[in-house]
Amino acid sequence: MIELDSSLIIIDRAPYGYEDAFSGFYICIACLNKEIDSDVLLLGDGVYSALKNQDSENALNFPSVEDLTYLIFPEGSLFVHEKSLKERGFMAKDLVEAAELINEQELYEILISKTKKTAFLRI
Amino acid sequence: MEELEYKVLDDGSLVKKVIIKNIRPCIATEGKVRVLMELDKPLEEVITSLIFKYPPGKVNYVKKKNILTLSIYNRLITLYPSGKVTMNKALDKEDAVEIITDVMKTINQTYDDLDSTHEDNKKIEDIDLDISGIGPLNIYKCLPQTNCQECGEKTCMAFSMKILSGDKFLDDCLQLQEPWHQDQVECLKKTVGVEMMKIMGWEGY
Repeated sequence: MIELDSSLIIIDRAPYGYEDAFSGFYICIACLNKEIDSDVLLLGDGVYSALKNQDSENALNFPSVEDLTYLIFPEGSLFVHEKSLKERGFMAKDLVEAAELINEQELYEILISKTKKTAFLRI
Repeated sequence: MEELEYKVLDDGSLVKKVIIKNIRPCIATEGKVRVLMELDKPLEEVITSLIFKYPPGKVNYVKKKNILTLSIYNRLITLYPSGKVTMNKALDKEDAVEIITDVMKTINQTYDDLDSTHEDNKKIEDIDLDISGIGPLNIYKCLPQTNCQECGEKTCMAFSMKILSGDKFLDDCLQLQEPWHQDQVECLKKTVGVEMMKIMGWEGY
């Protein structure tokens, strides 16, 4: 049996309308509860998950993804791809407190720092 | 999930209420939950001072974001400047509220101390101390280094590790109380500051 060292959950779809963001964060939380290192990487439209002041419960009658972003820190990290964020017209100050903005070089460093037994899960 | 509000400290100077916003039962580990809470006031101005209320080994501070994580009560409790708080390994919501009430008392005490003009409290604000940089060697070099074992530890290095984790106190070192070790006490004052020494269990002579 192969043991998993860590997981990197990659979310590239917007949080509401698709289940991807919820699923991704739940998987991360499950990994952390099993004491497997786990981080979430938001790319493309996935960066919307990290915007603060989401009011999905009132506006859409949908649970808030913003709440889930708090539940992975500090054991897990929430990385937000800076280029994706800027392309959508947002800035660092628009993000939830635990989000880490990363550039291309930092993204590369994160990926190569993971061991061979990392599962890359694109949700 | 509907938010649950608890008014836990009637006379709290900063925080009085806590709202439970989200609970995630652990999918993989039975009996554990992660809880997201929000206090009724932001914590931005107290977080840096709150660092000095706990042993360095129990504290992880992200200076860039002003986020503080406490490793206490066998849980990780993370405090955000907005007043949001997360807690892992809680048994249930009542357990989470009980634990956070204790933390809120410390928050309020810290807030009260901010207004204090006491000499030592002023030094908290002035100390540019990198908590993450305090390691066992920093403490060890200020101990008598006699390995006398009177503190219950085999070596002074072992004792310094227990000091950082909060499992031993500076007063447990009887040698430090001796007048010929005043240089070591001065060394500790310069290395960690008077307030941190108190947190580490130094009552003075």
